[in-house]
Amino acid sequence: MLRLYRASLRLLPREVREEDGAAIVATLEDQLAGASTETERTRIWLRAFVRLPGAAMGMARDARSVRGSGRGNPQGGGDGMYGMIRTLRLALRTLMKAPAFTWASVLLLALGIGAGTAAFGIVDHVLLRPLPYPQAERLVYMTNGSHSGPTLRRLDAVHAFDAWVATSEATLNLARPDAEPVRVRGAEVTASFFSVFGATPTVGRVLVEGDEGGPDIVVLTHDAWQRLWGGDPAVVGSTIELAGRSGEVVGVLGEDFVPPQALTGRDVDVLYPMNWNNPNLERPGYHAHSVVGRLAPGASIEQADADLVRVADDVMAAYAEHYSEYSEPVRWPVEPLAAITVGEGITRGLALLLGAVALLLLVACSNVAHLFLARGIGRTQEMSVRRALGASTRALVGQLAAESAVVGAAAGIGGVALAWLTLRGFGRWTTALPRGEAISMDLRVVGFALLLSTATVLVFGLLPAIRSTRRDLHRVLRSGARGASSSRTVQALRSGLVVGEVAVSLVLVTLAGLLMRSFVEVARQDTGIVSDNVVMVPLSVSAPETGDAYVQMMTTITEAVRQVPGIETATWSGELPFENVGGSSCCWAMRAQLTEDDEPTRLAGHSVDEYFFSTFGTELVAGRNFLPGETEPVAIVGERTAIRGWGSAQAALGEIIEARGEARRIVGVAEHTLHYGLDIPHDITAYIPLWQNPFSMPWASLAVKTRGDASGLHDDLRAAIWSVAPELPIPTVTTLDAMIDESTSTRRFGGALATSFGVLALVLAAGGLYGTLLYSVGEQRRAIGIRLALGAGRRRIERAVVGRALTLGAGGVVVGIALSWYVTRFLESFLFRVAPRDAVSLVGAAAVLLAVTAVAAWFPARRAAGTDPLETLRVE
Amino acid sequence: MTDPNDVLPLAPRDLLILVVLAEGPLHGYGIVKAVEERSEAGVLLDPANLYRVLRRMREQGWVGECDGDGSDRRRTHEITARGRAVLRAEVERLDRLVKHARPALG
Repeated sequence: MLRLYRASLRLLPREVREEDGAAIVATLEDQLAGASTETERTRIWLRAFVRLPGAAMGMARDARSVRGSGRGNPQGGGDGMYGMIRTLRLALRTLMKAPAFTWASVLLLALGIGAGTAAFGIVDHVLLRPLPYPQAERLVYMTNGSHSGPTLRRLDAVHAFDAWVATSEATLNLARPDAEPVRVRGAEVTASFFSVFGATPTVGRVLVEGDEGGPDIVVLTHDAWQRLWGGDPAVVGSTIELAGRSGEVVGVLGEDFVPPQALTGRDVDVLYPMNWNNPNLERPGYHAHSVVGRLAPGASIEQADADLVRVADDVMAAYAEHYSEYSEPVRWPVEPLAAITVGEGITRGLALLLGAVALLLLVACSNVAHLFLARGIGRTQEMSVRRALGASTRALVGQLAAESAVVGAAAGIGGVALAWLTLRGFGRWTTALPRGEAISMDLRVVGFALLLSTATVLVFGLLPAIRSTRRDLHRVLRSGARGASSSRTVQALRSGLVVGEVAVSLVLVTLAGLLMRSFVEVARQDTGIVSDNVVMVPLSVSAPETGDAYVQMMTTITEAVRQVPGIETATWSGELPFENVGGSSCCWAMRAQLTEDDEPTRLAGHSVDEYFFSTFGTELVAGRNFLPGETEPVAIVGERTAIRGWGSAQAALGEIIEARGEARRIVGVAEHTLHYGLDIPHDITAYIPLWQNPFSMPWASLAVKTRGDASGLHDDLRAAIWSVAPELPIPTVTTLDAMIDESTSTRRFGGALATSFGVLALVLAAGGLYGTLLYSVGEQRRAIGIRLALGAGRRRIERAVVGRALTLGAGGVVVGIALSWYVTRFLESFLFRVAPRDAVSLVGAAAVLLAVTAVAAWFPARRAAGTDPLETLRVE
Repeated sequence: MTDPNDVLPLAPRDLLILVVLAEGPLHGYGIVKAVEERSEAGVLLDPANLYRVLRRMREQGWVGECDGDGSDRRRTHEITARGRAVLRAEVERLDRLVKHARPALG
């Protein structure tokens, strides 16, 4: 801030700055130091900045008058406030007389400022602001997955941390007296969670050191308290049943607490203490907890990494047998929690958004520069006459500055309104964006809009205007009432702006084309699944003691569902296709070497029952399905797996594959399917019978294929599930189609966003082109009139105007293609089966722009051809 | 030396700066504080305008710079004889003005 002020002192005359600059800054520093409250400091800042331009102008005036007359202006203020208001009123009146110019400028700038402000609002909230926790900049996240009990027990040895938090999230059943059971999101947390994340209770207390034993003691988030208990404070002290165990609610967190998304997810409902007596915490292979550390004052990330290397070595030494399978030592380098929360993809995406918006703003500004330039030329005569009548350059520039300021202010207000609307509309997608819920219009964002409007007005309004006051007085006056044609430089400048606009628009249209083509490619993917009439029912079950009991329970539920009339078949698994979109593995994945001479690869594994393939309509291209309850270790592999390993589906039958720790005989080959999303490869896969490697988990999913439309069957489905598992909360039923659709929503959003930018840029470029041509046609009316009078055909005039436009457009297209060539490579990671330098997108964008150019040129061309030669000549 | 009455009337801000300097030399922030107190927060100065006024007064010979207790950057100003003359002239003018105006209030 002080730097900004120091920089702003450049406004002062140089002599003054050199002599008094340091003293001025020192006084401001003293003033700030002397202020006792934040409000007072803000007022001092405001006063210092707001009054600076006035002081600068005054000083410049003083310098002249002191030298000139030897006598100062004792009043100091001079014409000051009154003069300014007068100038502004004159500016307003002048602008009102040219409504087309005024509205066009305001609208164009408002669009640019609005888009820029909205983008800044998003980026600021998601990327720039610190996380809403005390000392957020010192919070770091231990990467490389979840961590085991042996690791957690050694974390106190990390001296670079002055505190650390471990959490483990889960979906649980919550049962309350007199209410139906519901699924809630819970997290097991260490007591340090509350102090590290600054979570304070609004009712009751938070968890403290010594609270132990899992969901016996529960703290609710404010949201869950409102939603499930209607904000009843009596809930504190009451008993609830969580995951089949009874627990006591001891407190409710404050409303302003934002759960750390990277740890607990943003929708967490209940928090309960870490159960250090959980026997699983003794196992080095039970990786269940995410860890965040707070760096001690002065400690660096490198120190934390070094400490964690020691901890990792210690854990590996203590559990040498477990770690003997690992090919390399385990490491958990830390990364800032903020970076983990937002993630690289989002950061890149937002950078791209900012880039696109900057380009858009550039187009808008260049349009406005155009308008001002054109108007400035149109007014050279007015200016020359006023100058001849004795107006000083300062007065003329002041007048033009006031006009720019009025346009800028109006555009700023419009832009803020537009940004506000955009951000509100954006709210619909905020769940897709980490930290998205915080996005809103606030002072910082409005301040940014203000800066943006000021900068755009200064650069693109004032500069061309000043030019017009500097024009050679005599020459303009001499050319008299005929109206001067623009000088060569101005024409070149205008052409340059048009070329630039077309080029920038081409880049944006190309980006939109690439993203939309990727989206189409993704949507066209063959899933290997027949999703018609398939509904998905995720269940949160109470994890039984053993894996066998879990399989037994789920098999019973699925059997009951299969009996419902209208249901063709049903299958269940811990994780079904399109349930874990964006992931690369949920339940098990391993490095596998299919044959001896094959490179090791990543194998995605799925534990399924014998109904899986029929429910999802996935064909077995060779071999057979699993037999009910078969005990021989067998596997079914994906077609691409078979081809990679053994050359063909047939050849893979009878071969051995190592999956889930066992050598299994391949008995079948299934057609290629997608599982984690339409754009996520799923080539090397294996399915094993889920009863052969049972694993008890607190969740499971049902997929049900119905005969005909499923929507009438939801109640029957629920009834069937409840008939065998009455303690289950209301199961949600989603169609598989909806889930597949949902998996592309981010892409669709990105494509739509890019397209809207592209369209906006096109409209702006077309508007700019239209404006310039219209202006230059108007300027050349006389010449055109003479040509018509001398017998030139109207067609020829039209062709000349359109030709000129197309020349400019073609220039812009060439520059734009060169620019796209460079820019699109930043897009690579967002594309799917489309090359960043995709010819179709580039050529398509070029064609669109040339077409738009031609259309934009058509109307000015018609007007030029419609010139009445008599009328223009009569003016002579 | 021209007649001090030629430069009257003074802007309230200028008058107040002369008033506080008449009581002794002050550096920039000192002037800001003193003027703020003297005017009961009616006149709030920002640094740039303060130095603008000081510069003008220096050029007119109403104030001068002197060695203060502060660092190089904190420049100290004191009132000159001419400054006092201007201040006296302005206060007397205001006095007369008030004396004539008062009876109108009845």
